[in-house]
Amino acid sequence: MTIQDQIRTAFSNVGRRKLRSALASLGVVVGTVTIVLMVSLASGVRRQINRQFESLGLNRLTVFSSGSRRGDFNPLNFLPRKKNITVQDVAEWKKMPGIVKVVAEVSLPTSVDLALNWKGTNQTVRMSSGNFRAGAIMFQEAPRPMAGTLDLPEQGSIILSQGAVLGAGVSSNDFERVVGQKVEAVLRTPRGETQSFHLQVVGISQERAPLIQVSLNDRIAMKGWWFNSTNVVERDGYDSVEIQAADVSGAKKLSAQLQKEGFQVQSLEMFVTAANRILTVVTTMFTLIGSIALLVATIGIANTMVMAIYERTREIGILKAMGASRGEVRQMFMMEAGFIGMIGGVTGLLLGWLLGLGLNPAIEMFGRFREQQIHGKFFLVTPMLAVGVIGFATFIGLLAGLLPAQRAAGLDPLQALRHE
Amino acid sequence: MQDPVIQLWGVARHYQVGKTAVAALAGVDLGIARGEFTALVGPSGSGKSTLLNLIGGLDRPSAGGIRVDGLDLDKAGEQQLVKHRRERIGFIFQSFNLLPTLTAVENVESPMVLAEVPRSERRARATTLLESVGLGQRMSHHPNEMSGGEKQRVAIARALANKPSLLLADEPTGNLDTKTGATILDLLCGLVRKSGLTLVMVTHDLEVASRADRIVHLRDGIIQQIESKVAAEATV
Repeated sequence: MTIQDQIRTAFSNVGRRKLRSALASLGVVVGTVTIVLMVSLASGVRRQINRQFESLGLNRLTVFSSGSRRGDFNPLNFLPRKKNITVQDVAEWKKMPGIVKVVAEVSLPTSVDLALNWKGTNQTVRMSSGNFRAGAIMFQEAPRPMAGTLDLPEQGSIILSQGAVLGAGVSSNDFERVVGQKVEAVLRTPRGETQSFHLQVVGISQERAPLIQVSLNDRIAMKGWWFNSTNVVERDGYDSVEIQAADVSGAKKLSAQLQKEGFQVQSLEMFVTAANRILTVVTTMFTLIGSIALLVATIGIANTMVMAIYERTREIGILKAMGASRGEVRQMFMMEAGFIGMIGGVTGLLLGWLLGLGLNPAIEMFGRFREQQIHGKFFLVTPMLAVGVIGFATFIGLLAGLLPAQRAAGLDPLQALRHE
Repeated sequence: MQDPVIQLWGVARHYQVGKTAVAALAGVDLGIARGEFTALVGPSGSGKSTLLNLIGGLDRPSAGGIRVDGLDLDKAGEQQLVKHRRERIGFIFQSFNLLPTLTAVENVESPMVLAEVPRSERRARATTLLESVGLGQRMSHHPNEMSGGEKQRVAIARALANKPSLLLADEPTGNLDTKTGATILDLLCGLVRKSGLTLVMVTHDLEVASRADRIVHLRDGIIQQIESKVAAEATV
């Protein structure tokens, strides 16, 4: 019997009992849908993360002075020796080959009491960490100004968040008019001493929380007043430095070197590696769960095959009398079982894929509801997943057919012919 | 005997029923010449069907030797028996044993599928065979749409599909009325005479048996008597 004839026969035999074959493959469908949904979610999220990070630039890394920051509570304060990022360090990094850009940052302690005096209102605000532009968050688009610009000049300027502007009683129609106005940011110590900083508004950011942002020089000035120190940078160093290398491998090398020197280094590359590792674990776990469902499905298929063989005992006898070998009978039933598995796999793949297609916009809608702009596909069926899952389902079917087919092959032709 | 296509010597077949051994055949010596029509007759339980199954390679003897067309069936391996059944033997059963899900033409094709005959040739040969048994108009009917006589005609066409040298028929007219049985028998005899096939037929109907060249009477697993209608050479 040629392989084409075996496939044709198996296919028509499966098709002969449509309902039964469908029921037998149901277990496979459930298992396959689970695997497809989980793995496609994992690969969708993985692709999103990788894309987002790549668009932000994997060649960038952020260096922090190690140890606790002044004013932060840290019970393990004694453990790492404090390693400051000095002005000299930054100057050295700037001169290193393969470095495109070095931006040093100083941030205010989180305990600082900061208020915005403007238009007769006095509201508590927070200093935004980093700058609005670099802070692009995963799954979100790069931030755009509501008005003006998000690029701060060297000194004397301020960016207000949407929340801060609305908090001062300005309607959103008047945002453009705010740009260029003078505002007063006030620092207050716990003892009640205050210091005012007069700054000119250059732009409004989209954040709804009351935030302000000022340039590095202004932050150094604020921090200097807070700690009562004329040059806080020379004393404590920078809080963080963002370094942009020419390429990813340069960033990796530099990251390793700086960590050796005792700095804390964060790079997007590290995030991506960690995220991918977690996703791999999650994917493996869910695939295992789906695989268990598929293994359970073998019981259904095996049962169907045993029934089919019992019903067709006489047919097997006829085939054997006509000169079908044990191997051919075995292959015939194995193939039927494999087909049932494959049909379940294809159905499960289609269902899982459709479910994913339906869930993608649902996630976006949920994101909009939560005022988070989420873009992109979260369920991604890769060709490898499609081929793999169908292959696995077919394998499951073959596995289920193994014993029943063996039984059919071993039937004595005379006894089988006598079977009613 | 000239050119014996089937030779049996000392063939015995025991079945284990519970703890007792039942002898279906207890030492049979027989030779059948090529092109001969032999009828095996005897009461039920005489071992005639067992003998037929042994010749067809569906069963193996407990003792003795069987040679069909130069192949020693008692010593042959499983694959050789499969090949024997596929290429040399055409079986015709009392209960037709057509595959119920296949049409007439597909049933006739099925042995050729097993023998890996190319598709186009399969269909052509099956059509010719069905026409030769007078079923040219019933090609695409399923067995449950056919009368007993028609079913047996399909079965005969199927038995001839792989051009066997040997036709083995187990009560081919047993499930048919007398008139239909007679036509089937005529058809079978005609085919055998025309193509020089060797036919071994099991029957308990002496009228049917009388059409044969030789009648082998079996009783309790041994040959009691062989009636020969042709020349004296056709003895054991």
